[in-house]
Amino acid sequence: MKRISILLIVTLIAVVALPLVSVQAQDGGLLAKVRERGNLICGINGGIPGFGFVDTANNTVSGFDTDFCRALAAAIFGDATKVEFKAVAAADRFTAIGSGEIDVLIRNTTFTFGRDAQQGAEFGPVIFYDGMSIMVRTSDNITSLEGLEGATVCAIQGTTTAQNVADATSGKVKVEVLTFENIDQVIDGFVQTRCDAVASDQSQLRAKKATSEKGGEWTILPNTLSKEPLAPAWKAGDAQWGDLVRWVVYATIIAEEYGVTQGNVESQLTNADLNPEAKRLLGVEGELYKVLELDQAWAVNVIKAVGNYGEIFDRNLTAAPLSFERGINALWRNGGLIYAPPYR
Amino acid sequence: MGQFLFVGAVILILGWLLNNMRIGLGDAGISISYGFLSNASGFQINLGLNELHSRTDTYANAFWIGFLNTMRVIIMGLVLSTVLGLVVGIARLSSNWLLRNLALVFIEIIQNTPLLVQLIFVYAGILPSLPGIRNAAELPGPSYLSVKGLAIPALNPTDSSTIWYLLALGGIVGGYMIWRARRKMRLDTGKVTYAAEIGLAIMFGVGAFTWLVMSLIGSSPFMVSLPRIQGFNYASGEGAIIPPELVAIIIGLTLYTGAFIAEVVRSGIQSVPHGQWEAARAQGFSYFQTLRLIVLPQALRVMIPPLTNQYLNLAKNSSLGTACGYAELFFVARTMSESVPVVPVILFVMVTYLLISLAIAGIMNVLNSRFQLKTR
Amino acid sequence: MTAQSNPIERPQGPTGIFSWVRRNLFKTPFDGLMTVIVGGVILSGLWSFLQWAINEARWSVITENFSTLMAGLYPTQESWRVALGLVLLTTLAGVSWGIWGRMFAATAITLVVGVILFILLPAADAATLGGDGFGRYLGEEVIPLFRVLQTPVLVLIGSLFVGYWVGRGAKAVQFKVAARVTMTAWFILVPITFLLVRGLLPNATVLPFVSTNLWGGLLLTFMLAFVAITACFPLGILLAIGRASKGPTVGKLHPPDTWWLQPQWWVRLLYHWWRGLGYYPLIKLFSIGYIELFRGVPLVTVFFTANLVAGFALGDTQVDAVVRAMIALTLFEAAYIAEIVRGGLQSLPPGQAEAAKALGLNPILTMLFITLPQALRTVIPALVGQFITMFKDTSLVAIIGLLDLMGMANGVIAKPGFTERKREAFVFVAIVYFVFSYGMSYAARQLEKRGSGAARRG
Repeated sequence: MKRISILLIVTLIAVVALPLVSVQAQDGGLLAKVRERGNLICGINGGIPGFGFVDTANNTVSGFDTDFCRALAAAIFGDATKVEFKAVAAADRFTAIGSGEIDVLIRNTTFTFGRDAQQGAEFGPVIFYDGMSIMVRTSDNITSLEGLEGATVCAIQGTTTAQNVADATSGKVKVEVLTFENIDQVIDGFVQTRCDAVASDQSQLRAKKATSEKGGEWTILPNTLSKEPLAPAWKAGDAQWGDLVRWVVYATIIAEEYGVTQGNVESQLTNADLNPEAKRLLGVEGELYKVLELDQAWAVNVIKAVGNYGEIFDRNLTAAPLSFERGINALWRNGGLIYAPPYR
Repeated sequence: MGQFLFVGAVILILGWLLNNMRIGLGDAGISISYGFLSNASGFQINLGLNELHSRTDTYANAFWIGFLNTMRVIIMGLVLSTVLGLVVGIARLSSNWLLRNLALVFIEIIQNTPLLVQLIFVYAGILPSLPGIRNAAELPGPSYLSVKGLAIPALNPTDSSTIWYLLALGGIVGGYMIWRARRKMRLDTGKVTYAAEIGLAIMFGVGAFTWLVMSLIGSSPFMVSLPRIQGFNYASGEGAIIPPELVAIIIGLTLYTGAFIAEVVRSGIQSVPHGQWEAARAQGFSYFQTLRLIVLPQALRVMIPPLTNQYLNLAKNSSLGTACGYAELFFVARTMSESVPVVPVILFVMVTYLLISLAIAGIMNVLNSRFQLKTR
Repeated sequence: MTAQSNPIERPQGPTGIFSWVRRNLFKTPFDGLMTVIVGGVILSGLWSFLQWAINEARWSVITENFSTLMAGLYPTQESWRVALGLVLLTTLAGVSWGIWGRMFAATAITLVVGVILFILLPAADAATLGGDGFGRYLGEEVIPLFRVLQTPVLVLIGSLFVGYWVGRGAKAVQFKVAARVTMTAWFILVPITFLLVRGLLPNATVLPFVSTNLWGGLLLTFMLAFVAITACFPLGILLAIGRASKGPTVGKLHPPDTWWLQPQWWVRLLYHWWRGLGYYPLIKLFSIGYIELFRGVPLVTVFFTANLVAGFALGDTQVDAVVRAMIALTLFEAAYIAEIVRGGLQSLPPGQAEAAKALGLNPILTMLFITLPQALRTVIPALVGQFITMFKDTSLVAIIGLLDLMGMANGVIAKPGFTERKREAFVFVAIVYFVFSYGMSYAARQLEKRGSGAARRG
């Protein structure tokens, strides 16, 4: 019996201690940790065409959001494939950030005060300006919010839209809000007429409308009910990591401003006429890259891997079947809101 | 002593984990406390029968709604899965080849596929089979059945309902005591005392009678609220609405647990010696009488421990509401974790399930000891 | 639903199809009614399912995403490793079958017909079957599915057969040796498969490391189940021993009715309870606490904690999400295994352990060679039932965002073009789970027969 107890002790300790003996990261910032690990863990949405979905044809994950994950990996490692995609449910996003389950969350996540200040998250630059809308069946002849009296509005569990629809309708009309774990379940409920309306980000509604067989029978109400600025997020408290994510996003925007594309980035390196800001960005002039503790060619790697902001947008969203327009997501020069601070 | 070393190691590891958590949460600026419970949640939960969680209600209220929804599923599921398990278990031993094999196929299919998949199928299967709200089926009551759920008349308590509750409770207690007393009389004297009939009549008669009297004097304990269809939905606050999500999760859990209970019932019945069957049939008992009066009471002795396990599984499986959009406790907790610290939330959920499990196990243990005593 | 009231074998009546039908389907009027109703339900159910499967279902969601559903994002150039692992495991399963099982005519015929179908159908020209109705179904749905499945199914059936004949041969030569070798092979092969799929070292030339986050689909489901089953078994046994451990018999106390008014009785009862815990009260308490804690909470909350909350408590330590799910499943299921094994230990007559002691066997040997093997043999059905549950329970990782078979099916139906193909995807998932779970329980029943037979002979 005695020896059995020792056996028990050893095994139990071994099992309980198993997590402890695995990879011990060095103390330091998240960047050091990510480098140590050898890949970036990026929280994404696995179920929205155009933004993040399992691309079985190419045996990978594709989309607008996931391209920014790749951009980040390219900046850190010079290799856009060193990224681990982790699909997280909307409700679990901030849990995953807080517990360090993911290094960065690029998952059509709305930048809000509460999340920034209370939830221990920090947000980067907005990569997609979205707004909440409501999608209804055309045959129901609903044209405004008032027409929704008594309707069942479905939304995704744990999102700002689920709260915004309660806000937008409070005091005006009485609606029943039903939430599901993901957008597919929501659309399913809508198809089955369990839901009379779907409240979600316009980007998601349009993506689903464009890719569903019954999409032709649905209408997205024109009013934008809330601001939904979608931005990358990470765990608060790491300034270096924040700078890195922020400037990788800005790099894609600056590249678009100066016409640096995936195709011409190599030749631009030797282009003497290139704007000095772009030269600095590409590492041709100055040593700003040292501040970020990155490779000299980090921005070049980013552009080579995913292209500039416009290219990312076009590849994932402008292309069929989504056919989005740039709209407010055009560069500031073209009347949009996409704007990057100067790189100097 | 080795065991002290071992416990020391366990404590050390737990301490290390807790310390990490303290540091990690501190770094991220997250505080762990249940202070958030009294804050407004900002989200809305419409599932439930009458009660509703609006965005200005507190997190504590959201927990409460989630808990109620979970208990609803567990209690309904326990009753229904027991009934289904009994039927299928008995069918499994039927002499009818078709019935016996249908039961077998049902059990094999259910037992060999994941509950999560089954719940998705049940929910996806229920919705299309229901009519839209505009052509809702009207049932007696008046009740309505549509894709928005089953709407039935509801009884809303009034000012005088407390008095009625007390009176009805008194009737039930009194009736039960009379039942016991008359049964004892029968056992002592051998006279026919109609113990159950009189006892039951008093238990329910008092409640019904006082209700009638109170209604007649104009202070009815309950207001009947009838459901009504209005536009896209049932008019809110009128009648009670059983949402399809609740029905889906109850059906899903009932089918799943019922298949396992059926096997428990089958092996329980088979554990009763065949002599019992023969003796009972020889005495002129019919098949169902034999089953009900002779075999099942004996089988129960063997059945209760595995049955307890199945009941516990059902209670724990009720946490899969996410597969059909049902806002049970875990679902609500996940919704919350979007805006409040997750550690206290998940801790609360786990402790609640632990208490539910302990309660079920406790009740079944009492039942078990009762049965063991009775048969001795 | 009539009586099973004739346990004594009645002499067989006249044979023939009509009398069989009369005896088994229309014995009494009630029975006949039952048969008609049940038969009607079955037929209408089958009819509407076939109607859907042939006319409405579009199975391209499976055929076009087959490799993703099977192996997730596992790199294509490395996927031979998964295939090799699978072939090795199937061959070994075949060998075990050959040694312990029997080939029934029905099984053999099913397999042979399957092979013929899988050779012939994909070769057929789908275009000639065009049109609509059943022809379209065959041409557009069935044949592409068979084409996708052809190689894997043929290879697997082939290796199963090869293994079976090897097993038969080995059994004929030396049953005991063959049985031992096969048993050992199972214990070695599972970790080897794990290494094969996972790789040896990052950037190694031979078998480079494939990060677990690229595992997905059925591969991930299998790996979770395999690792958890292998790991939770010893842990569960240890917990069971810990909980079942006894000390010298402690007599019964007889406290007075008002013991709770007398503090000295509190102390006595507490001490008595402590003595009752045996020689290792702390370990026993730990085992009880562990088992009851894990058995009292839902698995999905354990996965949730392990994969989304545990990060808070792990500090700078990093563990792969998949590995954490494996650990969570192992810790959780160990509690259930422990209770099953404890049941087996308790069912043994105490004479076994006493006899061993009398023979001078030390406690550890007694446990290893006398009590434990007997206890385990009695609980084989319950253990296999738990393993099947475990296999099905892996589907819950989809809720916390891992892309197992279930999660991958969710991912696939989110793709443009497949959004209305939810049913097909989940029917496929259900069939896959069914095939493997049923296979496991079938094998267990065979083993059980074999095991009890051996016990009787020995």
